[in-house]
Amino acid sequence: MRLSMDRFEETLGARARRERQPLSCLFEITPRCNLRCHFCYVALDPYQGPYLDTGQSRQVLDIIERAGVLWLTLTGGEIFSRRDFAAIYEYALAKGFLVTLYTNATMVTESIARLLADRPPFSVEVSIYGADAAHYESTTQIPGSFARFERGIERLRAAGVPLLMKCPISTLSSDHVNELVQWCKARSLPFKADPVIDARHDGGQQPTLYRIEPRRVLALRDQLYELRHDKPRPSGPLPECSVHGEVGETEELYTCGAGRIALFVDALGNASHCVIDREPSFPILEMPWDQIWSEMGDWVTQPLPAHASCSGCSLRGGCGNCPARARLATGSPFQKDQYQCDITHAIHGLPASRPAPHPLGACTA
Amino acid sequence: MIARRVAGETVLIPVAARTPDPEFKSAWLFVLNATGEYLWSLLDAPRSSLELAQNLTLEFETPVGPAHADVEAFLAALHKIGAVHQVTDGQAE
Repeated sequence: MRLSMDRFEETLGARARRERQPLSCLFEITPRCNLRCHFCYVALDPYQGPYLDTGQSRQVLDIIERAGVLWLTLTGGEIFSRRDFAAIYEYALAKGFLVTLYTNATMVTESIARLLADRPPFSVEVSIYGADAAHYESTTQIPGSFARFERGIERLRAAGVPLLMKCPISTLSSDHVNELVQWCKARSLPFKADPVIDARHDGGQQPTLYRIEPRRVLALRDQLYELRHDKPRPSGPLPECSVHGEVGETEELYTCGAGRIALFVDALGNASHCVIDREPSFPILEMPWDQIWSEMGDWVTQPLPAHASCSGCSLRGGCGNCPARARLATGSPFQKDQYQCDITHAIHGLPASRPAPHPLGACTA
Repeated sequence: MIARRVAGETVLIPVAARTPDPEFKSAWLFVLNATGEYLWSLLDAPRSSLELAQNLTLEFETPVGPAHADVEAFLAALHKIGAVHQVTDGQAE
């Protein structure tokens, strides 16, 4: 009767994926943030409010609860910048979601820490941008934010919530990884690094200026492995080599869980299959859920067109390239994100791939 | 403990569930089979194990003896995870 998450994934999760039943939802309760990170993927300019109020946020939770979502992640922006955070959070817990919180921890007050101690979340994932003020604030651009971050972490630790520290590795922090790992180790906090920076969700390319070179991504993965396991990364097949989509799924547009077992809802109440690719999107409070889920499924499971850049590629199953990233990089979900392609080629020891023809190439002839 | 329908199954979710492993979001969940689901639906009010077993007998056409043993085992498992608690006759009224 008791199932671990692993076992759950093997049984219910596998069936949910096969039958397209939503299990997890990333719910952006606000895009607003008190930090100004250079490479943030949230595009505020074209994305003004009014955002969902407390009642509307609860209605969203009602809908996804009825749909069967179990894992709920509240994200931002900065979630604790919402004055009604407690009301939304407690409602989510009462609905029976396993609630994960994404935060930068700089706005964790004593009362929020008390709330999380009394009504613990399933998990809290905290972004860390540096192990000292100079590095941290070179990313956040807010003086004093590192001190607030450290204070927030101490409050969360004292509240006993399970923490995972996450760092998007950029050109601003790639020389600082050892310090980041040591900072977390000193506090017995698990650390996870993501060496891939995505463009803004409206296609803005500014964040990509902070990406590290594809070959450096590879070196960084080895470095992180050694720091975590105190031994060199074993040679031989890399984990990516064994990642494959389900039979028949690798030639569908999306091969991940987007729109199959997972969805995203933004702060305006638009539901989409993915947080970084928000088209097509559907007004979740206005459209019938069944219609939303059905149309979302039509989009993600459509056959990958033969002319798509990744069509027929044997590396596709383990590649970070996906229609979402392709759309952000090129404007078309059927093209490819050259950066991701180069990383995958580096992983497999292959020469850099040939750039795809520009979608407007024909216009320049 | 909250019962939820997830992917076609009834799952008992501990309200204060915290993951012991934040990286993989592992969790202990309790998935009920058809019998467990039926018994859980009867537990919206205090009931004796014998009463539950009699209901089970009618619903699933099983002999009372094994049904009672199954109910006792089920209740013990639920009690262990804090999903039910024992009440006295006075409290039940």
